[in-house]
Amino acid sequence: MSEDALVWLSILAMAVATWVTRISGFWLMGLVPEGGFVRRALNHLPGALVVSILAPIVIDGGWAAAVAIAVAVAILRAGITAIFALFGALAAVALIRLVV
Amino acid sequence: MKSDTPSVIFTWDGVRRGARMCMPLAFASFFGGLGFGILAGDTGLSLAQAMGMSALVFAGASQMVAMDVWTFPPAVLGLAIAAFAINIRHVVMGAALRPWLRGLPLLRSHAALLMMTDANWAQAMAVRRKGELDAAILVGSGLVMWLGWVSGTGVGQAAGNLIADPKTFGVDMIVPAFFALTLPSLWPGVRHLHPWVVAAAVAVVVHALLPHGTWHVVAGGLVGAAVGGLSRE
Repeated sequence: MSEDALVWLSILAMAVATWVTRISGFWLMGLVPEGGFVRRALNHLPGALVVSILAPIVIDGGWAAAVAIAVAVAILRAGITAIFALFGALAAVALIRLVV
Repeated sequence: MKSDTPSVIFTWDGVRRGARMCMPLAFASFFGGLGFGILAGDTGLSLAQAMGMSALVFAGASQMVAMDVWTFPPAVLGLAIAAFAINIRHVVMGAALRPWLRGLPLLRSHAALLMMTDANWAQAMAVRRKGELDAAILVGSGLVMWLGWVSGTGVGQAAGNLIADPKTFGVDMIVPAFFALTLPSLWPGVRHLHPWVVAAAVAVVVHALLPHGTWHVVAGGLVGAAVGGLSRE
């Protein structure tokens, strides 16, 4: 096989592997009987996942990640829409990077 | 509202609202794609190959890692396994979507699943908590992010190093900041915070032990959810 064809084959293999991850959770969940435990666990799953994504980012990313997260949540809690919260967080990080 | 409410709808209005909701993410996605495109060009991928990978794989972290380990000729199986390991978090995210998507015809539920990325999934779960029924918001939000990602890749591959480091503008922090924005609506209350604490602790430990892939997200998410499942409401 030519090198070019192998590149495309690799891209396709990565795509199929990723499609499998996107679809399989939905199906695996169908095999689990939905009792009280599963229902309560599913209720807590989104929050637990987001926290699991953020925790190592904050620890590895240092102050920039912590500032971005704190500013974003603070602006949102002040009742201002999410878009401004997001850009406010980026502006805070950019500003500190400019100064430091 | 409980997340096991069976009712679900899937409309064009949902696609539109999802797209509007995630406009700032499309912007972030464009800059992320720009970064990937530059990297792909440096690695030796053609414009078509770089954009093709972004269009088909549509998962940033796994594409960046692929560029890191890329060889000519490429190791097909190894790249597929690496992509699977990094995107394994999607499995748990998809599981969380089942109570919502279950009632839809397969074509629609799978359209939503295939457009699922970290950020629009988190957004969808957050609005779902507030009573959103329309699962098509995942398709709309995924679509604008996909457009940003693929076009950014193209510009990055073509323009290469002419572009200034997007980090100067804090663009690398857009995803953590966005995730943080979903926290208030997912907040379980101080008395029910233990699943979050356990999830964070497990994620940090697993991330230290297995820095490659996203096993820490799977482990933290599942253990945190299990702790939540075991506790009384």
